Amino acid sequence: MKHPKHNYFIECTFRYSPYLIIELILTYILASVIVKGNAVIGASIDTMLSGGHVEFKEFIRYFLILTAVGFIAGFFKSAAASKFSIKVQTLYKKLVANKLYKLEYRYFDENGSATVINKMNSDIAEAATLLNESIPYIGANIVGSVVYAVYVGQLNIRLLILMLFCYPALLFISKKIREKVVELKNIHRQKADAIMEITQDAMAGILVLRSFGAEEYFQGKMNRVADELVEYEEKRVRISNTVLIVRKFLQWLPNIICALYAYTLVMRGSLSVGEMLTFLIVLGRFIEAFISIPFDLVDAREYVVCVGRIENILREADEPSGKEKEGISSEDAVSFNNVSFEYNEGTNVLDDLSFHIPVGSSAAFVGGSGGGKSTIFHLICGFYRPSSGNYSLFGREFKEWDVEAARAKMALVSQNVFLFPDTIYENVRYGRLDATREEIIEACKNARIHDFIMGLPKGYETEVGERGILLSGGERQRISIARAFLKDAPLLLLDEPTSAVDVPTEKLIQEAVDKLSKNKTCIIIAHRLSTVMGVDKIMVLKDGCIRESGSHEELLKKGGIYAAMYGKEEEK
Amino acid sequence: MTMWKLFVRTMKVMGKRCIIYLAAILFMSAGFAMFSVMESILMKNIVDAAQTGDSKHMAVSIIGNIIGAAISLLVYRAAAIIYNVEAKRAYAVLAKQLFHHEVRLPYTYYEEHHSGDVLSKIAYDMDRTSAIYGSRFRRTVSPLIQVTVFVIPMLILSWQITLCLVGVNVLMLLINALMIKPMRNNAKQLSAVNVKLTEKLSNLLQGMEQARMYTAGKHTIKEFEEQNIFYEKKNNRKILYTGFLESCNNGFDLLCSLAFLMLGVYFIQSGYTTLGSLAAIYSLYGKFSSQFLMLGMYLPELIGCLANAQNVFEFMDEVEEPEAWYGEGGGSLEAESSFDSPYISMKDVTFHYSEDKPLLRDYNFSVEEGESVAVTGPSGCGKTTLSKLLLSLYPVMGGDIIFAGDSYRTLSNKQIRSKIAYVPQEPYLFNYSVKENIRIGRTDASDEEIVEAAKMANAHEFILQLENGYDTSVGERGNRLSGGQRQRIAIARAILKNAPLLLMDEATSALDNESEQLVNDALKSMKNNKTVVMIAHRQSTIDLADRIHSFE
Repeated sequence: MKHPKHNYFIECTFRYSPYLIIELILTYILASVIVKGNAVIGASIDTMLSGGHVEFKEFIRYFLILTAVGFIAGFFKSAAASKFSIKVQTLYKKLVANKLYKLEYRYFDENGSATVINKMNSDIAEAATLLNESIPYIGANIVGSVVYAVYVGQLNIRLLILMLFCYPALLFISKKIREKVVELKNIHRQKADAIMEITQDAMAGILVLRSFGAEEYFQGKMNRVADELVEYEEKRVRISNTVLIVRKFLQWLPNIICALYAYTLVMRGSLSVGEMLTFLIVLGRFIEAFISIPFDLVDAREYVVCVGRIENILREADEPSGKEKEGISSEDAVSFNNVSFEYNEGTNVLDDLSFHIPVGSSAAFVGGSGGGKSTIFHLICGFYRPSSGNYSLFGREFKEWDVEAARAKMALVSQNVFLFPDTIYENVRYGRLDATREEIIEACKNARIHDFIMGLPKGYETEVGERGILLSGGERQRISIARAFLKDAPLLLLDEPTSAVDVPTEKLIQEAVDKLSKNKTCIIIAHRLSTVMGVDKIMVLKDGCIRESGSHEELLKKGGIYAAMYGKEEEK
Repeated sequence: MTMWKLFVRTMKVMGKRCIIYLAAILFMSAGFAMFSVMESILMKNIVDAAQTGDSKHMAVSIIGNIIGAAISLLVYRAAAIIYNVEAKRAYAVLAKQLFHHEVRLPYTYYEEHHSGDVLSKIAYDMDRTSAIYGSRFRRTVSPLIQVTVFVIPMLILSWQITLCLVGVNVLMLLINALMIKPMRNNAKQLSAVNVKLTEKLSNLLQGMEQARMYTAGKHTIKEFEEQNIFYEKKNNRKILYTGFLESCNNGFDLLCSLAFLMLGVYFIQSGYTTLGSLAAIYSLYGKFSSQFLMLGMYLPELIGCLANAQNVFEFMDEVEEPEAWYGEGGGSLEAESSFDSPYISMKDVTFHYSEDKPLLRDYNFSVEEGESVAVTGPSGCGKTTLSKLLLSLYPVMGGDIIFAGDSYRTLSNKQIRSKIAYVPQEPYLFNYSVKENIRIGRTDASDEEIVEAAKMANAHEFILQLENGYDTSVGERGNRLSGGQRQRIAIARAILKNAPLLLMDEATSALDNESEQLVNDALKSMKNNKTVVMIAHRQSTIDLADRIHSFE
């Protein structure tokens, strides 16, 4: 079920919003302290100018209090902002991780897991920036601007109106100018890329380049591009620096205007000199806070896009799951009744498939690639659901099963073994987390991998390295068999266990598989027919249908597809 | 290399222009700072005028200030343009030098290093090196220049107040400096945990099947959650540090105001300074302070980029292919052997890539002038090595190669390669027009000669049918053309070179029948007046040869 309206990010943010509110209150206090301090300066200057005497002791005490408040408020303001950010992040990341575990398998067909990972990691980082920087900054700058503006308004309402008119106009001009500079930057990038392209081209064709002695010819091309880059740079910086100084000058104008206006107010007597000084100082603060708001908003908008992408994942449907945790006593471990399946609409991978695999028996699927063998496993594991027909596991329809409980009944040894970047020991232990060390070693012995592991310098504590690259295919395969041993589940699923390994390894794996499948229901997908000769029931799949089924001998007698396949393999 | 030497070398790339570059940085920073000084002086003038009520003077001085500010900005602009152009010029010089070097490494270098990896690494290092010219160095020295520019007028306005303010700033800088190390450590720890978090998520996705079928998934989630909470805890320390710094900044900000007020009022009362000066100092102080705290801040970044520059320089110091493998080269006239010996002969040549895999031992092979020889043999036996030795891409380890009476030991690599027109197995085309690709055969060839060569290579017809004929761009690696078309352009290139020996490495191995026929036709017409050595797989190509040399 999708949740289109839900916004998890806002929910998380809302949950920890008290921290944000504390931050904003403290920002308000800080800004007020600054305003108060400056007002005191202004007042004392006025006292002095009017010939009065400034009482230092009084002010020192007053200022020390303000300073102390500033220290404390500064600390807690920063702490509250950080706390807010980290709390939300932690919760949000937790949601994401749990979602990835439960997300429907289909999602990754459409998006590709590598893209999902890359996007997700960078998006999470951007979301963190939004929380760390954008939200607290924007909040603080808005509060600051308001406090300063209110103060100016109290001093003189006309000053406030002038101030509020000048800066938005300025912002508008700045924005227009900025767009132009960004455009120039893009062209510059293209020119720089040309240097890279020439180099790449020359290096890839180095054999031709060298055998024809064309070094100088290419150097000429390179020199031309490099010189063009310098020429263009001159054009670019002429414009961008002109823009820069014009902007700098324009930004200054409101200051002059406001200061001159304040001056006329003083001349008219509606503002004191001290107040004018305070105004000029607060004006500086106001500009600082006010001008950064639009820039922060632009940044924030980019981050919000990233958050939106994560939100889309969070809104995706979970794997469907029932509630039942046990099967119903039944003869069949797995039974398919008229099951059809399609990954994309209109292209049936499985077509009206029916078969029954009794408890304790063994079965195998053979046939060329694209016949639908792996899809059957995907359905049995519940990664995908049949488009029509039904599938029962231990007598109970799969939709009624609690997905985790159903999977606890199965041990899968898949074709592409993924080993987690951890020790061998841990990788085997994933089969059953409460297993003892003895049990783990026993499982490895059964999987014919114990001796190999003991031969490694660090034994069971060897790190398998990212994606298991340090181990060969056969070794990884056997580690995953050991994992299956440890799990000791009643239903065993083996996906081409001996493909892509050499003959001695194949033998080892075959031994392990034979041992593992004892007293279990076992389903095998196989490329090499040698793996399946002893199986009770072999099913030949082609174009999503079962074309033949029976034991090895029966099928040979029949002289159909299987017999032909067998003949071919014998030839080799 | 020490950092200083590295820095000097980086600057030396610019040659004498380095002085212009440095001067530009000085004027750029000073101009920028002067603008701020003018801003403050203007403020002073207005405040002073407000205090004294003198409006006549004010107008004059304000206009003066505005003009001064404008001049500062113009100086800044002029210097900034020079600075940026010089920085880019330095980058261009480096890029040219780098390219010069990149195409002259010994051939083994390209074989041993995956060219994409080397390129992307060096491109990254180059990027960071150019950042030294473009920003890092300026950012490091600019605060120093600006601080100097700010502090002078401040001292003039009131040295007493200025010294107090500078004192507070030094204190602040010290606190910041003290915090840098613990904060960096904390950041490192945090990013380490963050990497773990990311890794867990990746595992969950990459090992999705296993994660769901076994307890691994739940376990990973649990670990993720633990790390996630651990991250939050670790972050508490960061909160403490940044909170402390921020509270210091706010506190000192207020403290400065206090000092400012007290001293200011005191000095004004005593007549040491005016209210306007006070305002000017205060506004200059803000700018001074922000630059002051940046002192040294960008130094680590500069050092980081210098480390990248070091990689670039180390790469540039890699030994290039020598002019000649043996001794001087260049001398070609001492004919060792009499003229009745074969046109090309390999005498007792020994060569191998690694000690334990001998490839050629005392190998002999000869070709008569005007003869066409097909070299055949199973793959991996060293046929391609043979052509690379003929091209002198490697030196022979024993024996000698004689070409038209000259020993390879007396020739320069350039001389040797000028005698051979080579058509490689993979006919590499560069991402230029067809015409330019053929012209690589002989760069001073006229357009007519190029067309002539293309006709001989059976390429003229199809080239004319291309969108822009000879000016059609062939795309990256020539991917807009078919394999047969590429091969015929490669042959046209070889024809244009008009070298005495045509050397072909399985030129037809990857072609369909029709293209093969066209290529073979081209070969037929050429072999009449050239000596040809072709390494060949296909029977139809082998049939063209006068003689077959089978390779063991």
